[in-house]
Amino acid sequence: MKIGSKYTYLFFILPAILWVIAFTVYPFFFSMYISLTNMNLTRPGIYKLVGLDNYIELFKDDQFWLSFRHTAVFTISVITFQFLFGFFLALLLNRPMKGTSLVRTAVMLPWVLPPVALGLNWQWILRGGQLGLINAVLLQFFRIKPVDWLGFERALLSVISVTVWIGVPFSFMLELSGLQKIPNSLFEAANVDGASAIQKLFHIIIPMMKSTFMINLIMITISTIGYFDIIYALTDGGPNRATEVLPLLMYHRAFKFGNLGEGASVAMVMLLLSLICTFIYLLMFRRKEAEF
Amino acid sequence: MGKKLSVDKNGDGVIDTYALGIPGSKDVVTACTLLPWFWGHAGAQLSDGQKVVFGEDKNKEAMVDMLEFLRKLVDEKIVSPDMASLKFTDVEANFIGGACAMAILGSWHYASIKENGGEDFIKNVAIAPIPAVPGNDPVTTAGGWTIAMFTKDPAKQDAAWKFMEFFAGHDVQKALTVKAAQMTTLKEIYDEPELKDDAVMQTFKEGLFGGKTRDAVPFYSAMDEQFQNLIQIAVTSKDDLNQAVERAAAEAQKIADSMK
Repeated sequence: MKIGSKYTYLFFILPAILWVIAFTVYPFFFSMYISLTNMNLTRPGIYKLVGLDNYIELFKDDQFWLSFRHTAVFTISVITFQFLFGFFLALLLNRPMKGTSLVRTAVMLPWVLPPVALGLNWQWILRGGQLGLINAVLLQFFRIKPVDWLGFERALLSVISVTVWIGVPFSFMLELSGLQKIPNSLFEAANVDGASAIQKLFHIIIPMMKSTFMINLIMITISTIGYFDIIYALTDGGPNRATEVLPLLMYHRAFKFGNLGEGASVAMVMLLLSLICTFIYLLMFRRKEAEF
Repeated sequence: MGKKLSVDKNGDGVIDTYALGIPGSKDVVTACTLLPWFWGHAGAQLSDGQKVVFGEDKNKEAMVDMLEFLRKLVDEKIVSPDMASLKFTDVEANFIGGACAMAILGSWHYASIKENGGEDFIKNVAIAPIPAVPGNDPVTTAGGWTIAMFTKDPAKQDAAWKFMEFFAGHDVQKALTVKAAQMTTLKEIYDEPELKDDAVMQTFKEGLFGGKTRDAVPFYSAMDEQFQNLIQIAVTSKDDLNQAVERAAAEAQKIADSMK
């Protein structure tokens, strides 16, 4: 193929296309197929199509609805706090001041460390009794009795907190880049008109950042619905299923019990949830963001 | 006696040392640790080799009895209330750190406690078999691993077999037992000079050869999962344990049926 031919671009994007087909498109369709079978790891090669039986059994299963509720609470909480904290930090650090680069680097640290390693460290920090780091500090300096952070009553809250802590850097980075796209002239004009900080926030910053917000919310939502590693490392869905979200249910059904059909059907439900949420965001943000 | 061993050293209302440390988190070791309390009821079984039976008859009674006992230990502050979030590594750390006076752990922890706690600490550590349910024989869980080969290539089969012979051989088994307290099933190792007069290792040996292995059934993981959940239900809630055991057995059987 000659350089300059109108099909040359295909040659360059072909590796990426093949990669996407091999690691995204094919697994997606194969998962969908598996969800319609009774494939089980204990019977390799022996399975048949069962139609929607896996889905029917899933929707009749109390454990599924418990995991669904946990996923809903987990996702809504993480979206809310990760988005707000990320935006707040971006507003705070979007100004030239001494040490800004250092602080920005520090903010990014949780995002670059491996989630499982973070999970294991947080296990130690949140450990109950007096040997957990937080409890040791609370007891030593504030005379507060040890709290069972990973116990039944608080495990979900702890898992949400750790997930938000890990995810805030991503939101911060996205929001900061959105803030830096806003022309300075707008703020200058607002200053001339005597606008307050709150007025600038609601009349300049938020309208100009709609597309950034939409991307941020979509990415947080999709990643949170499928969030697995930290929860697995911290609690493995316990205690007493207090933190068993849909990804963990999928993992347990597919790999602990070998029921790939059921596991795949949970995965399809998660995909559907992600699509519904994405569609809702697209509707919410369908008005074009302000242009100047 | 358990209550006496749980101590609030400085009178601030916080128990500094619990009598007993037990792992209760969602983990296979939790099940291994507490299965003896279930098996300690004569004849109690999780399965009969074909189906799940721990929700029936005397097996169910044994399971409920064990769970009620566990709940009582937490209620009476003999065991820490955060038991459901403790892994076996946490219990080991608590034991070394003085947060529990006794701990139920595996034999391999002895080597780890010796290394982490130091020589001075280990001098004050004694090992005892898990007490039996009154009227029954003591029992412990004998775990272990399986080595299998799947290759059809004769050369690789030969190499794999050679490795298995090496791993199961005298020298490796002795090293595992002496250095890591991973108890070998080769009885003659326990007569070696390093182990013959070691009271701790001889105690472990008695436990091993009187131990019970987990059910060798394809649906064991389902029963194991339910057993772990029952332990967590017992120590984190006031749910009716009879109903919990019935539900758990039904759930495990459902998964077992899906494997047929």
